[in-house]
Amino acid sequence: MTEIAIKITVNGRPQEAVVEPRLTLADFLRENCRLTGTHLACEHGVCGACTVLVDGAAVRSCLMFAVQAADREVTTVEGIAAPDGTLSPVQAAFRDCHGLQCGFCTPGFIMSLTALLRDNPDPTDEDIRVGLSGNLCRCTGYQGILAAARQAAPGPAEA
Amino acid sequence: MTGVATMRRPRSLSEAIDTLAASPGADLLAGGTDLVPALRTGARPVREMISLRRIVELRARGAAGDWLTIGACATYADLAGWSLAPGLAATARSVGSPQIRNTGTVGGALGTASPRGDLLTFLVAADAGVVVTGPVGQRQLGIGRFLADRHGPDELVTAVKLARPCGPQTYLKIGARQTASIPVASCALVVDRVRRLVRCAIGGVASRPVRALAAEDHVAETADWSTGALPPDAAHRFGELVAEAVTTAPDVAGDDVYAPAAYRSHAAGVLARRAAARCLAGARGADARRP
Amino acid sequence: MTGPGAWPVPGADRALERARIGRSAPRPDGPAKVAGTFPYANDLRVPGMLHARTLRSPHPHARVRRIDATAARAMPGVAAVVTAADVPGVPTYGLIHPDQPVFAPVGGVARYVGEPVAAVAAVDGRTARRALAAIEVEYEPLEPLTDPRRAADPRTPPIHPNGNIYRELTLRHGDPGARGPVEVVDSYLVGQQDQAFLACEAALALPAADGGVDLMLATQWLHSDRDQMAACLGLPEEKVRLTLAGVGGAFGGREDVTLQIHGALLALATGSPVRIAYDREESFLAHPHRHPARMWFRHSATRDGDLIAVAARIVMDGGAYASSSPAVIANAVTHAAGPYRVPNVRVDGVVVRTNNPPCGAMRGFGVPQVTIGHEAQMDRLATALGMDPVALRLRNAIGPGDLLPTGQAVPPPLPVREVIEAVAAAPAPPPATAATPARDRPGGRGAQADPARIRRGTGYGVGVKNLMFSEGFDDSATARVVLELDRDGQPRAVVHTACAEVGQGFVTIAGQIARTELGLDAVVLAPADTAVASAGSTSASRQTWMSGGAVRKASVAAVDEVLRRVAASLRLPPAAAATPRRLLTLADGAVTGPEAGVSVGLADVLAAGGPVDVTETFRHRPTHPMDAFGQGDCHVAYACAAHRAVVDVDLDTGLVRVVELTLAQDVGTMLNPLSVLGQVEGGTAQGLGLALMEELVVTDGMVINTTFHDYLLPTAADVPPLRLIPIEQPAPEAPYGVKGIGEAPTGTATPAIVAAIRDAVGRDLRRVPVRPADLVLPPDPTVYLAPPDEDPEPQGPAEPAARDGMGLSDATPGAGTPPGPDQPPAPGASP
Repeated sequence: MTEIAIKITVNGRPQEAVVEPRLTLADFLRENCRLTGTHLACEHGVCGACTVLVDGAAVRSCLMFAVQAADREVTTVEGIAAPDGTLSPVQAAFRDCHGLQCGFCTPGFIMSLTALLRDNPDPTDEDIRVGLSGNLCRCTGYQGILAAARQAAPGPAEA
Repeated sequence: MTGVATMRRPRSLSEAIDTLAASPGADLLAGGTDLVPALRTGARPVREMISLRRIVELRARGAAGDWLTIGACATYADLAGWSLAPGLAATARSVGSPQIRNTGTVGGALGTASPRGDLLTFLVAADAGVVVTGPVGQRQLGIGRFLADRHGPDELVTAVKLARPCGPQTYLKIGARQTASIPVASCALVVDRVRRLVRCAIGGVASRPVRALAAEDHVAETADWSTGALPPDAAHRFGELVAEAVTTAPDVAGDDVYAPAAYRSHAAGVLARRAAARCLAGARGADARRP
Repeated sequence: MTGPGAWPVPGADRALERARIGRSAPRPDGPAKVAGTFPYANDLRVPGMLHARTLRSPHPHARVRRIDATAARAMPGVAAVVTAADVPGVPTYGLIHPDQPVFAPVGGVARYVGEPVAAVAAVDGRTARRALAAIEVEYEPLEPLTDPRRAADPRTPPIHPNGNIYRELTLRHGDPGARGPVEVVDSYLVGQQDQAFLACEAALALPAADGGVDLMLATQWLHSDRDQMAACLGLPEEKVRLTLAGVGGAFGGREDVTLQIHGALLALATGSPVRIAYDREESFLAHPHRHPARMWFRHSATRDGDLIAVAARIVMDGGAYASSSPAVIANAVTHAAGPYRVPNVRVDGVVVRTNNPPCGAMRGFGVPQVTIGHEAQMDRLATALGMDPVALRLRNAIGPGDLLPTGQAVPPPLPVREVIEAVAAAPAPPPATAATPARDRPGGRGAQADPARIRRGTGYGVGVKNLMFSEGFDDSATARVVLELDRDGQPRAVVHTACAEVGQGFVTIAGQIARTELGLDAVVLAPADTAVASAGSTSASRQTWMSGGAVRKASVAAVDEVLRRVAASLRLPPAAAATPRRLLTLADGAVTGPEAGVSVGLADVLAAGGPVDVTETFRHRPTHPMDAFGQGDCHVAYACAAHRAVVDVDLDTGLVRVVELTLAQDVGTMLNPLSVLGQVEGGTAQGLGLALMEELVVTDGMVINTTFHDYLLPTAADVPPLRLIPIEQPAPEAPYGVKGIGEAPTGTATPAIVAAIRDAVGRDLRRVPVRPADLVLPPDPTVYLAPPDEDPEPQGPAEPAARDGMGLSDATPGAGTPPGPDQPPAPGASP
């Protein structure tokens, strides 16, 4: 009786489910939708590994109940490649630039950077550092990630 | 046994009031950045939850007459670029990470009332009004009163009201990292050149933001209000008085994982001098004097 | 079921496939990791699996009086509760000494906050959590021993049958009484760092029809886990089969057993698959950390700056169980003089048991702590001599052939002088100006530091780190290479090792080596598991050398077999057939021999003779135990590194911004330059974290900060650009001349940053991490450690624990303390 029927559009596909109010969006994505690319590393809203886009805004899915995403558009790392599997420019840049080692933080960085570059296609290094400071990486020391961000940035908008 | 969670999702404020009246003391869910982890770890008992996200009227922000009104469900990201409220915008930009700023709300900052909350510290310096709404209508409390008494179990915070700025405002903080960190100490300074006064609040140092009243008075008395300038000596003294206010605050925080208490009061004084230097011309250079 | 799969070579891009050694080949797991489809241990699910949780002691020291799980077992949805009474085999486990109970038993003692007492399997995580709450445990709290000084005192009652001293080491080299006209003496303290790998511990345990168990998990050393599990489960080793699942970082923190035995016990007890996984808080409690250390140093030199003697005393807190403490203290003691030529060395080191969290392996393994000490001393000696700190280091830099404090001659190459000269010669970053934006100043935009009150400092950290296991440990790594035909009849190679890929990039290197040796692009890595012999641990900077050496050896043997078959089929004369490499070459999928005038396709060879299947084991040159005075050839090889750090310090707030880091490193041969860069950048960032912010705070045995809110990791805004100057001098004993590269820079980044801060503020800094308060408040007096030759006052009652729980302000000297019981020659598993 206490469960709630919700509909969330995940990566363009409507997902209907009856969920407990306390189910986090991260668990909804991982367990109900079997989209395990959204990772949990701290569950305190610090590390950013669980970052997804909700209506285009980067949020921490461990700090949000699935119910809060009802009737909204959620995009996860599984949803940004082209339908034929071609990696997005951000994904390809992480692969090319050794922007990852263990890779556990990578989906969160990819989602944060995707949002950052959409809003600021020609960021400075400091823009990138500060813009990605809500995501923790323990392997790379961030330099490969910065290189990936530079490669993926579209550059100044055409005049 | 763990309690059973239920969630109501009203679509209007009046529906929310009715829902709250039916289950007073229910957890109010806005961005969830504090409530979700607290429920997950068991730090908070499971109660009925009322989600406020669908209530569009709580997300509004606007200006009317001398007042700015911010809906309780406005996010930090909503405020970060608001030119009418530069101090509030600077505070919002300093909160957490981009992901948190996209989710966390003004009402949540008040509901949690974390002593380290950036927004709360600024609202204390701004002497904000907190609008709470319940079955008998809405009422406005001063921020100090709100923090002391909270609100009734059948009421919820619906908006925050700020006076339109009448002078410079700033929010400075010290964290353990370059960015994305919880403040070890923070300082909000609001200058009112019309009424010829300043208000200063220090965050992170006690169970709620500390107002430095003696320091504020000192500035009010020593500033040249025709120019808005403060002599360097006065700015330096302002920092000392802020540090003293922290040391003597009734429930000052002790040493903790982030810093010893002695560092917090020292840092508060430094930040206060810097805030004065930014907001009161002529106070620049006060920083260069060793305490 | 989703499970760990093979890592294929990147698909259609021939240029990438051709990546052989020396080129920056992309990671084979990169596409899956960026797509979010790479299966980590935490992602594994099978239908019908149960969820496990662990009940842990809330006390630092308590006798377990009674455990009553009746109510928990009766709860709907609870499949099993296991305690010490359910452990069929040996009740304890451990990397070096099996001194840690699988569960604290009734009548026995729990020795740290977080020690497992019971584990539950239930239909879902929430039911398992409720079941934990329903288990009644009656504890009798005992006086906790949290002060290493008291632990080292022979009068203190032992808190474990094995005693309170894990290992005490004495090193005497040259004339231990030698002194010089210029001396600097001081004490240093290093706080407790956590590995903080991002993916918390997780495993999936599957009961097998043969009565055994299969475990898919994230670990650093499959065979060590298997051996410890088999002993505790009372099963033969072949019935405990482990497969590596995706590992989200390790850094030493996955070298010890944590959830492996618990998960397997529950799977065997229930007959169902069991998923066991930790959250962050439990992860902080469950795995051993880096040893906090207190150190006393005395450096003596001539007036010209030649080191005459180094005396040191090192006290490490090993926490409640041995883990790898005996090997960590050996590293600390043997590296205490640093990469310098010192004719007279005396070091006394001890690592003790307390009721604090257990400590074990973390990147650098005992060396970062002493590097912080010896580098601070070198700077202060330079000041005392009126010398430039770089000149002092160059004057004393050790080189090949020089004697280390162990009496071992430095095995070549060891370019200490070169790495120092390289960082010193690198251009300095431009100075900060009034125009520097606030967010690039210390404290960032929030703090608005006054440009007039910012001081810049430059500091150097030079260090040496041993590579691979030490002290006579019989270290080996095995690889199997199979050459076979794929479904399309094309030849391919399958490389199979038990080497744990934890992020470091062995999967990339293994593919590069195999492609290079086999002359074949189609190389597939089989999942790492225990079906092949051990690869040893992914630690101690050893896998490129060891498992890389094994892959090379097996690949070479596979080629030899192919060539032998071709030689035989061509009926070459027996003399030629015995050494077919002189006549034949395998390249691009064909065997050719210009002189013999032949060309045979590899596919034809495999079609005719069947797959080539070879397994080879690689060993490095043997090492030897140290004698009673710490003398002996105990380490295989060394790598050195030098960091230069440039920092800006806000004099008013004590906030520090690291502006730039330059690293020159002895890298042997780089098999994958971009991968080398990634490793040293990551190691540097961890060193930065230890310098400025990372510290587990333990009070009265309790870890206070078990979240990432209060255990702070550096973000992208805290880690500056790193300039790497690789010094490539091939190591003659190593495959391709490689050296392990992951650990050395972790040890040197920290002292370089601390030195730069010291340079900026003009204060002696004795404590790491350096906190803002340390730069603006009066110095912390609790850092002091008594020298080894100072007689202690008779011990009074325990002093209250210091903030870090070490309370060593006048510790008992090591001399005169009887050796701990149970001190066999340390096997030197020096990860």
